[in-house]
Amino acid sequence: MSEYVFEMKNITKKFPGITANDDITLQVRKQDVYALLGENGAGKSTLMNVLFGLYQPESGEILINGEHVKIRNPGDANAYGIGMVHQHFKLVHNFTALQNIVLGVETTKRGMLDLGKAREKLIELTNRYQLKVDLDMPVEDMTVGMQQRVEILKMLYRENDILIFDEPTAVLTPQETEELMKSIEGLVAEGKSIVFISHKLNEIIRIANRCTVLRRGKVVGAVDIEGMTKEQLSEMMVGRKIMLKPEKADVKRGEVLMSVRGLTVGGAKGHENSVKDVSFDLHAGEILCVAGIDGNGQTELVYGLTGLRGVGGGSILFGNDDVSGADIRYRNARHISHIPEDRHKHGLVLDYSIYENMILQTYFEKTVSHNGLIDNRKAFKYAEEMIERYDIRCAQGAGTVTRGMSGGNQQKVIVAREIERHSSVLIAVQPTRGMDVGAIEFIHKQLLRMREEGRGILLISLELEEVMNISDRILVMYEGEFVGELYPDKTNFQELGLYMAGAKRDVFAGGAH
Amino acid sequence: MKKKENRAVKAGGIWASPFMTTFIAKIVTIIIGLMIGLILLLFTSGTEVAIPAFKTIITGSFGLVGFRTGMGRMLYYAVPILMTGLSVGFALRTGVFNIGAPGQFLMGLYAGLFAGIHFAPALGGATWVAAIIAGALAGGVWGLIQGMLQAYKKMNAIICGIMMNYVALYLVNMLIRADRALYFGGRSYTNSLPGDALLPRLGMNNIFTGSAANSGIIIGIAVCVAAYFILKKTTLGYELKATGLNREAARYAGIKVERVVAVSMMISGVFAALGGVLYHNGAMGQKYTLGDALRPEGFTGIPVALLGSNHPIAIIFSALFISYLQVGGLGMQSFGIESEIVTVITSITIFFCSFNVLFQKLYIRLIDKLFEGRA
Repeated sequence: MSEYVFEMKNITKKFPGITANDDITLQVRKQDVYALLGENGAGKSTLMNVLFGLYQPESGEILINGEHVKIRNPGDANAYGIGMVHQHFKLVHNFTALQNIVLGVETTKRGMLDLGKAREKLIELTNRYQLKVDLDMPVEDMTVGMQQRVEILKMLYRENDILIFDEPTAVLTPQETEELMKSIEGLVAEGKSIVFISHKLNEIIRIANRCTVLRRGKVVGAVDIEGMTKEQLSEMMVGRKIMLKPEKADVKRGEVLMSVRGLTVGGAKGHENSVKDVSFDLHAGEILCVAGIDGNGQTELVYGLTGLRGVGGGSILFGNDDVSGADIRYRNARHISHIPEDRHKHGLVLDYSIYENMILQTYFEKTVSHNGLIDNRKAFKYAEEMIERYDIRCAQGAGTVTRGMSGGNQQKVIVAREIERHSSVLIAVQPTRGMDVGAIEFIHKQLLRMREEGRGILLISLELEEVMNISDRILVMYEGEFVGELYPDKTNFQELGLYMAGAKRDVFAGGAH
Repeated sequence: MKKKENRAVKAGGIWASPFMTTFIAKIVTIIIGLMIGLILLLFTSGTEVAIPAFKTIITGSFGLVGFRTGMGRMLYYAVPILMTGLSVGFALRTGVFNIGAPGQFLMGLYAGLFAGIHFAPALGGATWVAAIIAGALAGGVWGLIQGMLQAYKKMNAIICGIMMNYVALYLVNMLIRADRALYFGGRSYTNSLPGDALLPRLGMNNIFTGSAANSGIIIGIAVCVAAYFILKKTTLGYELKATGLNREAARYAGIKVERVVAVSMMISGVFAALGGVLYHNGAMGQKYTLGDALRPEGFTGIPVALLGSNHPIAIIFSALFISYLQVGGLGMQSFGIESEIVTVITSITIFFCSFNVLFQKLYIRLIDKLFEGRA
């Protein structure tokens, strides 16, 4: 019996123009919680996809319990006891937990579906691992945390021993995260081995016992977590010192830039209002954060403010200018910059090059066009400047088509464009989602610079650390309403979590002061 | 800048460029289409007829009627499908499928006929210019109506287009029957146009003897170049492409996508209608036959656009190519074979165009293999 439950030795995987995994070795012992840490594009996912049989490496070998194996597809991986919880759950929404779990390995009796045995086994599993799951609840009615537990149960039901978690906490509240940590501890106690992919250093220090750090496809080091600090880990990951908590200059809160009163925004067709009678003021030199669990009306609030969806009522005032009925271009051109939540849906025309994307809202303005003709050369030059200033990495300069760029660099294109439009108000929706510490630090710096310039930033974020680190004031949104106004220096994660979960709420007159 | 681009090109150099990849894949598609056409011919007619007939298609009947005549015919028949192809392709760049091209084509044809006959006494030698303008206007209006229905009333593009086609067909029948100058009662076709209403031939009748080649092809190509310019250089083109590539992002940017779709359909309508005028006012003695069927040129625009990847310049070549096949098909009739076989072959070719991505992938794999280790 080998010391390791699985080993990946000298794995090299190349894609055209890039070596995603360069001679990577990973050795995981039984009952390890093994963290895989690295920036975006460092090769974590590629490595796990190799283990999962989705990619075939050019060289290297995989050993399971000391034996050489060949993993050609996810089916093989499953047969070797490897299971994976993806960042985006792979569940059928209108199926119950039970139906989702047995999907693909249904138990039958004389050709008919027979879920009795499966149910017994699952009840036994939920008890043994303390996983609270309602087996008969349709997935669409579940909280994100429970959906994740369904995914975990799915692996356990298939008797997997090596469990891979791909950024599992990205979608969870602090309370849910804590529960997940407990579940993971329970799994390890029962003899499972865990691979935990994350770039949240707190969690890695909290749960993992060993960690391999990847940078640009290479192993930087494999270390025991015991005795490591967050700063050391982040330095290994990025290759330079990182300010984890950005330094905030003292900025005096200025006049009100945007004043929202009684704003109501409709939901999807036939649903009730997603934003209900919301009021707040955004000041100059302020980062005002709207915190909340995903799906509590933040998206619709932004749609209402930016004009992507018509408002049901209320006013959005910039001085005396009520833009609640104005079209998107009017708001764009006069007042609002907007880093959208979904960079592929709204933020970029992916098949446009960088320079074309850089002029998305300004292509008709005098700066880049004359008499209806776009001055491509000027736009190109401007984009080259932005690439330089915002350190956007791209293969072919301003002519690079954005579709082929990494997510982090795509986001930088949007951030550069929106900040440099010099609007008084920036609405930034999850501007650092899915980005690594280096890029997060960069974007936070830009937001803070805008704050120092006396602009107002409305930050919509699901990341509590971000909320606590850079905001001046926090409004917690729950079911379409603001339920609490907090200040980061006077609150903590637990309290914030309670507001977000709807367990605590303050009555405050419309939220505006 | 140039240097950076070169460095980004992977092993395989020019052979691996996107242009070559698309081009080679299209050629493969065409060859497969032709091969299946040959098999069909062999099935229906036997070797002794099929082989020479097939040769006629391949050679575009140049062998039968001579190079000059063949060439001239190809240019002449390319004009209408060039314009409808541009029409369909241009709309597709904005993400709209313009199946209404046959209707717009017909509106253009009618307006050109109307202006050509009615305005000739007043305008004399400039009548053909008026005919073109009238055709463009009619097509623009027709396209705009369709575009507005699609954009603002959220009408299904296919249903809307087909409906507009039939409205155009019967409306034109009605208008022609009511007009004594265009039509004598009891006949099934219109009067022919006066000489002043015809496009100048610019001596092309001397170069391409025995064909109806005229300046229509030059105007058509100029329009394609103009379309290319609109898409490439203008703010309107920027809006059109942004809307076509990502409608949500265009909306986010403050572009009024409904308006853009309507305008795009209007321009598309102008292009298709120009096809009608340039074709009908192109040759002496043309008579429009009143009937219950839409003319095929409008629909042929769809394969022309697809084969040309909706690119205004590439569409010039795809229109010339399909016209080449069609002229070959006409030549085949001398073998007692129906020219429909050409439609079948072009259809199969277009059918294989939907495998284009597959062919591109196969090609890329081949190039990778060939150039392995040379990078």
